[in-house]
Amino acid sequence: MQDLRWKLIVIAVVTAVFGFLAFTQPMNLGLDLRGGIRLELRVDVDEAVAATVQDDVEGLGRRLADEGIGAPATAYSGNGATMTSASDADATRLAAMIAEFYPNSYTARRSGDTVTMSMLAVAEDGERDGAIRQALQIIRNRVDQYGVTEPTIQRLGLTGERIVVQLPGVENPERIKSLLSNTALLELRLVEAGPVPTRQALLDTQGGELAPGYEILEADPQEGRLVGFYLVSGVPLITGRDLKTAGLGQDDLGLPSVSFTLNTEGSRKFSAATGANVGRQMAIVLDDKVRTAPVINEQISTPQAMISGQFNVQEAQDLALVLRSGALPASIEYLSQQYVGPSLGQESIDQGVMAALLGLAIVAAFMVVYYKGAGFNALVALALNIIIVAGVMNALGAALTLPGIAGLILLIGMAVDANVLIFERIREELDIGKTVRSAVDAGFNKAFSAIIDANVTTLVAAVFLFQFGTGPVKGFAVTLSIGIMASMFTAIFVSRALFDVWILRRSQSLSI
Amino acid sequence: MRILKNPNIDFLGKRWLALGLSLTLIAVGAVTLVVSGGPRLGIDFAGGSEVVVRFATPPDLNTLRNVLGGAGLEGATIQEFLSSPFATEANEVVIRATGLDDSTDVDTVVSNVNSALTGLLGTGGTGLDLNTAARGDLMTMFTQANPMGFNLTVDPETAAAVYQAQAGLVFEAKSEVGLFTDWAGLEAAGLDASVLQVLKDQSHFGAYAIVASGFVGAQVGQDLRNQTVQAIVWALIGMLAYITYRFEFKYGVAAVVAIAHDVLIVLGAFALAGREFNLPVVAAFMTIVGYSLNDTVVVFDRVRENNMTLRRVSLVERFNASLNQTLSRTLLTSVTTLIVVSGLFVFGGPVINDFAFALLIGVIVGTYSSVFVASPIVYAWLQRDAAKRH
Repeated sequence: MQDLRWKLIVIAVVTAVFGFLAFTQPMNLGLDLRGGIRLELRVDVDEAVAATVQDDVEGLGRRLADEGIGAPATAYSGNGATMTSASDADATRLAAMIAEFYPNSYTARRSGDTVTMSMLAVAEDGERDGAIRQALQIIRNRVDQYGVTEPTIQRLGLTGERIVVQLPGVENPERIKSLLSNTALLELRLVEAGPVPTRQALLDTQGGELAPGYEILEADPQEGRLVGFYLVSGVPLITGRDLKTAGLGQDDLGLPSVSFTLNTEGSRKFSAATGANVGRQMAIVLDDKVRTAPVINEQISTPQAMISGQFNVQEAQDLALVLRSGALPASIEYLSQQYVGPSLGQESIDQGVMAALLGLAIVAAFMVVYYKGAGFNALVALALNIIIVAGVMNALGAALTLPGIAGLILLIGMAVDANVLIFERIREELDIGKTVRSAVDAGFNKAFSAIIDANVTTLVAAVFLFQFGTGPVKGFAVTLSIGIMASMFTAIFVSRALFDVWILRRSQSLSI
Repeated sequence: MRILKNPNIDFLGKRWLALGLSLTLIAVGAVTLVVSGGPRLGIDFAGGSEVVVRFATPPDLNTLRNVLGGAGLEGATIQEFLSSPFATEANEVVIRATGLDDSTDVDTVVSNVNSALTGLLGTGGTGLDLNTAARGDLMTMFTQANPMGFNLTVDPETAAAVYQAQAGLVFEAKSEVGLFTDWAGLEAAGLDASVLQVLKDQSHFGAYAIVASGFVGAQVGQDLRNQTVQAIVWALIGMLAYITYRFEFKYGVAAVVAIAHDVLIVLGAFALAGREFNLPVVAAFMTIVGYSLNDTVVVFDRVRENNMTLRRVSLVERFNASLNQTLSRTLLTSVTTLIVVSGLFVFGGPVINDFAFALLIGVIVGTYSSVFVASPIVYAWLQRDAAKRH
């Protein structure tokens, strides 16, 4: 009795909470039903090619240095570079190296002390294609993490460098645009000198010329506490690839900052680098701008670091998001921004919604005809199911598409299964002559293992799909999980409480 | 109300028949798949064409959909480019289609769009329609009229070069405004006065122009597809582990085989019906897997229970008893699910028809497989073990 009262209170609370979530805010509708925003953007693939050339030239420089050969003076030209060595012999060695280490990427021509390397067309196409594919992947990650569901992200043109992104009903297009186009290249570099107010002043301290293997970077002008130029090591100690995760943190003044954790490989490198460079400064560089340059006080083996600065909470969150999702291979430029209408006609939408509701109504009617009184019990469970699922979907901000609605209705239609299992079992128990009370008890008890195992098996599958899937697959896994849990709750808990109420009022008969 | 009262069907006795049926269905599907070169991929997986059209007056989208459907672009989606999120009509729309005969050939789609729109809107005047004219059309017109009075027999090259440049100016002006509706854009384009006069005399402005067209890549590219396959494999492993933990390894394997059976048959049915694979269909397949799994585990649960309570009864009878005891729930659940799915299939409209089709077949096959595939596998395995022990 006491027990039952508590159960009814729980049910009332659940109904109220999810009902509130489901009905007080408008449903988030997908591109097909409501339309949204369409962004066309261009990935600067030439930049990606140039970056690769630069990486490879620097790699060659290191190999040359290993052999005691000075780095050549290099002039870059998009997909190639012209390198002038100190002597003909050095140049010959350089040309041989290019042939040896990059046979499938570059052709090298030597004339005197000058080597001209240029990327092979096939390799260049590969680079361009790779850059677009990587950009697609990262944009998808960011959209997913931002929480926009059911986006469409596609490449435009067969060999195109354009990407079209469509997002359902975005309220703040500027924020998502800056999220998507933020390169977010994170590097940790050792500081050799700095900060010095101007680039020239810094060069002067180095004898007027930049030594090979070093770079000059400017402090982020947005970052008020840091000004001037730094001379930093050319090769970063750590890059964004070594990141495990990033999140919102607080600096020692309690202001919002971005904290990040390194993965195993990253922490190993970090620990070794900090150990070997105690007393020196390390610059945390984001998109080639120095964000902070703390002094390394001791070897750091806890793999955590922080970017502080003048962020508000939202900016810090957004930066953490783009760091988590990885750096873009090249910068992105927006070509157009457009609001788009729904991709489905009103006719199709009406048809689909009508069919789904019709199916639901017939199932409801069927349950009542087949199970009489107990059928109403199932109806209550069904209704509560819909409320819970709609409430959770709404709270998660999941966008509903027409196929999504059809899927949900189907899930709910399937959810009567748990009720059917219980009712059939109660009938079996009544058939062998049990009293109403013990038949209901036995029915629930015996059906319990079947309901749990059947649902948990599917739930396990859904969890794995969520963990390893992306985009639409993840969305499906979430919907599936919510549906399963709601149906288990309504069948086992709600349905049971309703039977108890029934038995309490007239324990002699059961309409089933 | 009850459909069945204490059924007593010898399900296992029909297992060879069932095996034959399953293999036949799978074989038919497999052959169809091989012959047709794999499942037909829709725009989500294969990509397609995108055509942006600008209209002089906002078109009625329903009419546009019907007209395009009649011109071989049945599955095309049409979205308006709105000036604000609250706008209700627009002059520009983007059309996406997989094209005729599944070819993603942009030119084919463009010419289909053109023929559909000309059919709908008419040519809108006499002479050349500057909004749809190609460069060649303009060249022909200029050369024939020869307003600048070149001597075409002596020096055709100069004439061609000049008129080419004039045509270029027209196209520049067009890309500036998107769609010509008056002469203002052309009058400011720096055309030779005589050429402009020829244009005014011999051409007009149609009601629409194709502003852009091109190939649009798959929404689910190779990378995403590989990830999805990986996720599904992990999900299967997770399921197998859970069933092994709650039942036995044999039951897990049987469940996975039943799932593979269902997916193969539905895939075959899809190929046979010549239906298109898009994202919602993948969701349908996953739902089928969940459904079939659910059904199978409920039967297994009963077998597990009867393994305790009916120890004296032979293995065959024990399995048959379990299947008969769960039969009414098996049928009821599949009936209620089929009601919903049939509703979607019959009345749901073209968008969810493929989705509903997959589910319709999937629910039937999934119900069948838990009775005639999963259970017989466990039974055969247990019996082989028992035979070994003796």
